[in-house]
Amino acid sequence: MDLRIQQLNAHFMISLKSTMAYFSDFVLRIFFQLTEPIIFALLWTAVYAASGTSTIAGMSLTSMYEYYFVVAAFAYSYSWLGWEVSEAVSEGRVLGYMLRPLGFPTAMFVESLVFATVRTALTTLPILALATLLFHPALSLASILMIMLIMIMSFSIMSLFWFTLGCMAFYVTEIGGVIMFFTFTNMMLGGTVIPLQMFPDMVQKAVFLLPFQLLFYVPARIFSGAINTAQFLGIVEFAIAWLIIMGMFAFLVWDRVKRKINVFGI
Amino acid sequence: MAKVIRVSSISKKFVTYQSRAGENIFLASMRRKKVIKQALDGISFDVEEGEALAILGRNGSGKTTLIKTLTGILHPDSGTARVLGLVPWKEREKLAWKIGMVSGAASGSVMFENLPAIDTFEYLRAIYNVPKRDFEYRLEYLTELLNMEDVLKRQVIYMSLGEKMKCNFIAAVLHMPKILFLDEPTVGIDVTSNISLRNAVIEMQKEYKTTVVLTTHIIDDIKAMANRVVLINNGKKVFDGDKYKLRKIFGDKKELEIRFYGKPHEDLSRFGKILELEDDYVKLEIESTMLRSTRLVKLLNSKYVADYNASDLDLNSVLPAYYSKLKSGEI
Repeated sequence: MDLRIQQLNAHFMISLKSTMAYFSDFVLRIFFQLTEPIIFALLWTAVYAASGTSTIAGMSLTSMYEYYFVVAAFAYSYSWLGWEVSEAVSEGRVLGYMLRPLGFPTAMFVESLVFATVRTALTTLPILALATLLFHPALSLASILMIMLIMIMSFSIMSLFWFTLGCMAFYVTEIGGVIMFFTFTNMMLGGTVIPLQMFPDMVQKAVFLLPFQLLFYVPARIFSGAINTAQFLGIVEFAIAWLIIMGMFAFLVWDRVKRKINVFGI
Repeated sequence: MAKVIRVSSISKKFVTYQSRAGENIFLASMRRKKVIKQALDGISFDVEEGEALAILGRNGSGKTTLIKTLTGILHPDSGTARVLGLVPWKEREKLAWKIGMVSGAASGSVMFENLPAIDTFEYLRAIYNVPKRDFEYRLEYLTELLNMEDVLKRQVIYMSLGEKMKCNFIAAVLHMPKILFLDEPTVGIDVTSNISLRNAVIEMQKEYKTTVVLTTHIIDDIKAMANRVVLINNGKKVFDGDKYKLRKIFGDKKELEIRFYGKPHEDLSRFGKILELEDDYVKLEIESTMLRSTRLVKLLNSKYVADYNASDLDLNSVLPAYYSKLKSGEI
C-alpha cells in the first residue's frame, strides 16, 4: 500500500475508533437532533392551518414535510471541522498533530470526514430511506449519484470553509461564538430554517451565489426530483468554482497561520 | 562527529495579554494590556551527532520555545537553523520522520485519550511505517523497561500523569528517531520509572548514537543524561559548556540536612551557610570538599546525630544566584 494512503487509512481508523469510544452518547446526541424537523413540521402545520391556503411558495404541506425531513437528514452529514480545529488549538493538542509526518490540516480533514461518515451511515441514510417510503419521490440511480456527488462536494467546500475559520483560534484561542454565528448563517442560507425559494427575490439572488445552498437545499431538491440533469451540471460547475476558491483561501490562510502558532509555554 | 543541529541567531517574540489587577470583571477581557515577550534573543549553538545537550533556564526563559522551534512547530522571527540538514519550520513533515519529542506539558500528549494506549502505538507504527517485527521488539522492550505491561490496554484517559508521560515517551521513540527532544520528560514519573526512562535514553545514545536535547529542572536528569549544558536566560544564551564546567560556575556545593537528637551542640555555621534551622534539624549549603573534612565526618558519626543526607543543590535555587552574579558582573 502506498505510504500516504497507509497513513490516511491509519488516521481514519483510529479516529473512527475514537469517535465510537462513547457510542451511546453519540447515538443520544443524534436522537436529540431528530426533534428539529418535528418542531418545523408542527410549526408549518400551524402556518398552513392559520393561512387557510393549500400551498405556500408553490409547496404543499406534504411537500413541506418532505423538505424538512430530507433537509434534516443532510444536516447530519454536516462538517464540524470548525469546532475540531478550534478545540485542538485551545487545548494545545495541535502540538501532537504537528509532531507527526501527516500534517495538522490533513489530520483534521480526516477526523472531520470520519465524524460525517459515521453520522451519514447512522442517520442520513436511514432517514432518507424512511423519507422514500413515506413520500415516494421519483428517485433514480442518476438522482442518487447526483446526491452523493453534491454531498461530497459540499462537505469538501464546507470543510475548507470551517478549517479557514477554525484557524482564527490561533490568534484569539476561543472562537465558540464565531462558530455558532456561522453555523446559524450556514443553516439559514443553506435552507434548513426556511426553503430558499421563500426568500425575497433580491435575497434569493444573493443566496444562490453562495455555496451554502449546496449543503441542504440542493440535495433536498434533487431528492424531490426538482432538479434535472442540465441544471445539475450547472450546479457542479458552480461547486467546482467554490471548491477552488475555498481551497486557495484555506491554503493561503494556513500558510500564514502556521507562522503564528503558539503552543502554550515558552 | 557530524553536526546534526546548527542554530544561528534565532530570535522569537510572543505577544501575550495581561489583565490589570482589580479590573472590572466585565471589562477585563476588553482592557487587556498587550505584552511582548522576547522568548528567544539571538541564540546560536551546534549539536554533534550522539551528543546529549541539556538546555537549562528558569521558567519562561525560552527553553520550550527553542525546542518547539527546532522541531518545526514554531517559526522564528529571525535567524536560521538546520536540524539533520533540514530547516525545521519549512520542512516539518520531512523532519518528523527523523525526530521524536516528549513534552511534560499536559497539552503535549500525543496519545488518543479515549482509546487504550496500544491503539495509539499501533497507529504510530502505521504512520511511521515501522516494520512489525521491529515494532513488537521495541514495544516489548520499552513496556517492560518502564513497567507498563499492565496498562497498555487501559484507556489513556484513566491513566495517571506518570503513566501518560511514559506512554508519550514510548510513542516518541517507537520509530527510533535520530534526535530525541525531551521537554521536562520526567514530570510526574515515580523514582523507579524515572531511572528506567533515563536508562532507556542512555542506551539509545550508546546503541544508536541518538542525539538528545533535554530541558529539565532536575539535576539528577542532567547528571544522568546530559554531557553538555546550554544555559539560557531571558532568551539569551549565557553559558555553553560541559556539565562539569557548569558545576564550577555554580560552585561545587551540596545541601546537607542533619537531624539531631535534641538541639545541636555546636556552631554549625562553621561548616557552611545555614539555609534552614529548627530545634533538631538543620539544612546547610556546604562546599563538596567539606564532606571529607574530619570535623564534619566526626560530627555526622557522633551520638548527637540521628540522621543526615547530602544532595546536590536544587537547580531552582542555584539559577537565581547565578543570574544575579551575572547581572552584577561578578561572572
